[in-house]
Amino acid sequence: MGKKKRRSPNTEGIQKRPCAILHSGIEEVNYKDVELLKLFVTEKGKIIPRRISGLSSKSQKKLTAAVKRARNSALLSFSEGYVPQDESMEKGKRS
Amino acid sequence: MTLRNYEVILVVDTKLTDEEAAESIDKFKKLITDAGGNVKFESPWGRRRLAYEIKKVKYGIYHLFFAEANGEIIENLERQAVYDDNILKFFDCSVTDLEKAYNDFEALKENPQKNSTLVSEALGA
Repeated sequence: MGKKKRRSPNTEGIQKRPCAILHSGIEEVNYKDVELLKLFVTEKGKIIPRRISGLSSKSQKKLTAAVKRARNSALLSFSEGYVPQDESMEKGKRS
Repeated sequence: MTLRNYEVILVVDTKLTDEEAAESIDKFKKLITDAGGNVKFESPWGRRRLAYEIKKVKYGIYHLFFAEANGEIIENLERQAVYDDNILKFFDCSVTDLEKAYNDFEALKENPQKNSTLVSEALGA
């Protein structure tokens, strides 16, 4: 008792969004492809959930694995997400 | 000895000269070949900004090996990488096809934006 029954959502007229990764014909999500991964990572470095990213279950699983690998190889930050490459070599030499 | 396909990333400190960096990369290559593995492809990624600071360092030289090895060799490599002060980061993962992995990586280096533009178009559509 007391539990509210959840109404099934009205799915009529709602068009399913195609999965962006499958749709663009990419089979493998490579962890070195940081430009691709950054599309699915927030500013804080979190992986965007499937309900928002709209990816298929398969693609999302590949994506999370890739993001985690990228974090471990210092290609993506754990806390800041994508860190852009700066072209100026001078800056780097100081560090 | 059964050999499996591995992809190994080494991140070398940028404060080293080019020769010193090449030397420490060669050291790891030798570790693989001496233990019975073989490095099929090699690919330098060059100098990159690290996503986070490692040992207070912001930049690193990335170098990739596509090699046949086994768990023992990889374990040894990992241990050596921890001891070596010139290596900032060591990362390895198994791949199914070495040649495909190598070609994919070369294509990615050539055009890093390719896949992301495809996907962002699909996201926008």
